[in-house]
Amino acid sequence: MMMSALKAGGMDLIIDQVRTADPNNPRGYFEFERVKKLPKGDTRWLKQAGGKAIKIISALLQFLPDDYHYKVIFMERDLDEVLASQQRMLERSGKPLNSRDEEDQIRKSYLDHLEEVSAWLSKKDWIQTLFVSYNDILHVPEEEFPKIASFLSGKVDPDAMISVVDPRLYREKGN
Amino acid sequence: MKGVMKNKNKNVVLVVLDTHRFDRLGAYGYSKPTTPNLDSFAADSLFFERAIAPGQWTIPSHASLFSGEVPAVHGTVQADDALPREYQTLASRLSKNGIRTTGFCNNPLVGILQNGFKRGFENFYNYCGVVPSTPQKQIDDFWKPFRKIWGKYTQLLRKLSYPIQNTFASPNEFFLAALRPLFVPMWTRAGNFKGMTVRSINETAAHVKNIEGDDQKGNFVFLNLMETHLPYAPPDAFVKEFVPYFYETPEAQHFMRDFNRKAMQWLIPLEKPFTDIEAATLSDMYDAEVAYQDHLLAQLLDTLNTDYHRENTMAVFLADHGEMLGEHGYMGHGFGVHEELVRVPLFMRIPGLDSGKKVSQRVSITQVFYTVMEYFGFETLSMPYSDEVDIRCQSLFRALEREDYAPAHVVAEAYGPENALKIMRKNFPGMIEKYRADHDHRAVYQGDEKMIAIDGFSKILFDLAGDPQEGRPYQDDARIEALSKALDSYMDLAKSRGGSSSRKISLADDLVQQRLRDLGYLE
Repeated sequence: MMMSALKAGGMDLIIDQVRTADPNNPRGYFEFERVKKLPKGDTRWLKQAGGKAIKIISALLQFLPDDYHYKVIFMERDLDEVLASQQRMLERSGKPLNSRDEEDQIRKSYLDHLEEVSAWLSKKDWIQTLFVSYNDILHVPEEEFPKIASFLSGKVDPDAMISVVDPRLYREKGN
Repeated sequence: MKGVMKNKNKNVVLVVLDTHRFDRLGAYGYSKPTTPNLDSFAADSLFFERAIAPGQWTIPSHASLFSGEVPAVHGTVQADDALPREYQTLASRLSKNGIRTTGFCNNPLVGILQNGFKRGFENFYNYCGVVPSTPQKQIDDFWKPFRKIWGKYTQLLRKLSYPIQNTFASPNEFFLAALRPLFVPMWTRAGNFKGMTVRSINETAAHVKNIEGDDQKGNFVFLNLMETHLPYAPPDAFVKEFVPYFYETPEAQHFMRDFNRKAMQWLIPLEKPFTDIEAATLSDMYDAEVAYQDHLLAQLLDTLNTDYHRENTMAVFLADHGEMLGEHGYMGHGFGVHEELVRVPLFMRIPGLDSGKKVSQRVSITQVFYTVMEYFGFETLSMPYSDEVDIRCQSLFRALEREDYAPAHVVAEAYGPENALKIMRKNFPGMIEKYRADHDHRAVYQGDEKMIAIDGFSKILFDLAGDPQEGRPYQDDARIEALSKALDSYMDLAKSRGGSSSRKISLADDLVQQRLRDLGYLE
């Protein structure tokens, strides 16, 4: 959702079309496959990434080189919703599902991870971070998007971003 | 803070022998005459036979020494990390209480980086870097205006050069470029990478001498020495004594010249083991540097041996970490927690206390923070997790009072430096897996037992009494469980004090990694 909102707001995105729209993400994935190669030191593409937005999972942030400055919009979401959404995505993709105990373990690992990543981000002066609540964006986008626009120094139009929010779609994904 | 400075002319001189292995000092049983001066001073001191560095390299160890917290709590473990403001440094605490604080530093990671290590020093002299800053000498009045102008000019140069030098410390392309053999002589020589050992010792000795008779204020003097750090280029006399075959062995000369330029190899494990002559040359050249530094230290030790300083000055000698010279496949001080790296020299002469006492229990360098505070008369201090921490709980003075003294947690932690990991990812990706270099390594001890825990991977047990070289790991599930409990307790304590279990972002859990792969987020 954030990627499509940024696009609507006028921001250029770094994406490829490797993963196309599917029932899990009817609007597409807005992803860039090479980001997964960051742990292997594949960072050359960043030279062309200035001023653009890219989707990256928090575990890969640590592999971003500090040759550049970054603004990170850190999407936070109720963890139970995240886990439920991931289970549905796995189910739809025909991937094996985890047991209840395994889900509990994953939940605990995610919580530890969130603590670690917050601490890590707070110590990196070449990264500015804005934490935003996924649920707040769904419910009060008119309050949340101006904050993001301000964080991005006015490079996106908050009113245009609001147009992409479809609470029904995202509520379904969470259920 | 309670109980400050009952005696105004108390002083502390803290000398960090950067990168100094414990096993190369005669005082710790070394057979070669590398350190006659330090040995003599150690014999007159409270001597810690088994001191452990909290981290495996300069950044985490100095952060612990200066903050009184362990790496799992302060989280200052990378070259681009800064000690969080909530940790008042040792120098800050002393300075705020009227103690004069002066630093003489040869290590750019301590003196140049903007990482908070200089906080609290009223005067801090950097002998390293492109534009060193050193104490001003007495000159005639006629020259003073010129010196003022020159001082402003050099200050401006420093101001301009520090951000550039900071850039080279970060794991970026500048750093990688600087490691190319062509550029290494440039920053090691012109950039004073190892500082100026002779000058810094002379000027520290002069400063310490000037303290004599100054009863107005206490003094805290910090000296960091880098002579035993790579590259190795000791004076001929020391090469002839400790590497007698060097000048007649072209292979040894070629290897040392080559290795001194290949800075990348200082930072990462070995691709292949050293040949016999390479291993001997490296080890013996290290000894020559150790001996040279010891020789130079005689001047400072003589000053500390005056009656005034014997009566008023606590002198502490320690290393922030050791050095791997090819053992277990490791080189330098980037990775692992083997004894060559984390067991360090520590001895301190304390006025009014019996000299020559030996403490066999394992202690941590982090405890020196509390020991210095207690010497100056502090009883409690405020830490981020508590407003009133009893200094006595961690001060090494307890080792003098109780034969059975044993601190609760002595753990060494190693978080691989990002700049070294970056080199490995780019050039030697297989090495990361082989050495589990991107996992956190921790060493925990109970008696002669040591367990190395590689986060999310393995736990390896050693009996240091029968296997001091850690060459024969053994299996004992009950003991691994006991040591794991001790490590868990340490990590829980760290967490309760605001630390996270790891300061890197980890998803070591295989289940989570599989989940993220299944979702297409990871390769």
